[in-house]
Amino acid sequence: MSPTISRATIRTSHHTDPIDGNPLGASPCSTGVMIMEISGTDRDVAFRQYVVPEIDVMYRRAMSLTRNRSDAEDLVQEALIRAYKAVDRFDGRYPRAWLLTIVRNAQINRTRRKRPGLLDDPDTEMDRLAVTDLGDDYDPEATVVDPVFDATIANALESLPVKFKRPVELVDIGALSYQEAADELGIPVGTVMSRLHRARKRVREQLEDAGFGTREID
Amino acid sequence: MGLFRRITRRMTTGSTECARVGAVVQRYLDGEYEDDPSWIEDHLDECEACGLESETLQRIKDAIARQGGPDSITRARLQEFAERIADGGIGSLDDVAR
Repeated sequence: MSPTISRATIRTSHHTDPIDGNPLGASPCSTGVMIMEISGTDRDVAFRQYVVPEIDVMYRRAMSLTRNRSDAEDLVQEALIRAYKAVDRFDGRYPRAWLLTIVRNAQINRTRRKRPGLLDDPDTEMDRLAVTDLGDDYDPEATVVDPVFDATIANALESLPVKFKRPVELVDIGALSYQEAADELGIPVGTVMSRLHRARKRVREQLEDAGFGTREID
Repeated sequence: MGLFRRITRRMTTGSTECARVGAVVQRYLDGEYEDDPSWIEDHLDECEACGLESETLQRIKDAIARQGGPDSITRARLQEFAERIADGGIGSLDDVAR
């Protein structure tokens, strides 16, 4: 651990994010014009205590938002930097919620930078999106994982129409609330719930087709 | 689950309580049920059919969540990145821009 002064370069802005204190509409990875000095030891300890253990969860949220592994990794890196700069102002309560909000805000800023001023119709946008590369990763934190079961789940998820798959990705992978998922997709909460229900029912049917015994969802 | 629970679990299957629980079990498992959930939990313990239903849904949710996790290489890379931040090894954030 370094007790020395770290330096971070950020773009100046008049508007800051209320969650992480970073400039809105700017990236800490952007070419900077201002040098901000941040102190060492306490921040490092807090960063390791609150942030590092949540990297997997941050990545899952990033995956649910970007739907692309490379973009998700970039987003987590950006969120880690934002979290490091803000952790001295974090009160230690609900670190996961705090970090997931940072990931979300970082993604909003990334989207703004890519497509300023565009407002896409959510359903049209979902239909346009390519199929997500979700892969078949193994999670070492899971105590008991059936690789065949997980592979069947992955295939079932892939086969879902985008409008059903996105709510599942946001809620089950990204740990968004119904309201957050509804806001993200631009649809009512009730529609999120019904699409979740139908998506899970379809996943379950594919599990049954693959020989996994489950009961019907009503 | 205790023996008594296992024995009595079958006895409530098909009751109107099953329908009540079935209507909210998704919200409950998603952490969206805002009222006291003890009646749901009691029923899931007592009713074999609803208990299995809940366990199946939870297993599916868990498996879906694993689909979005980082692989071991990505996880190691992000851990190393975080360590570099904490060690002050990233002198300028421009260093990490891709």
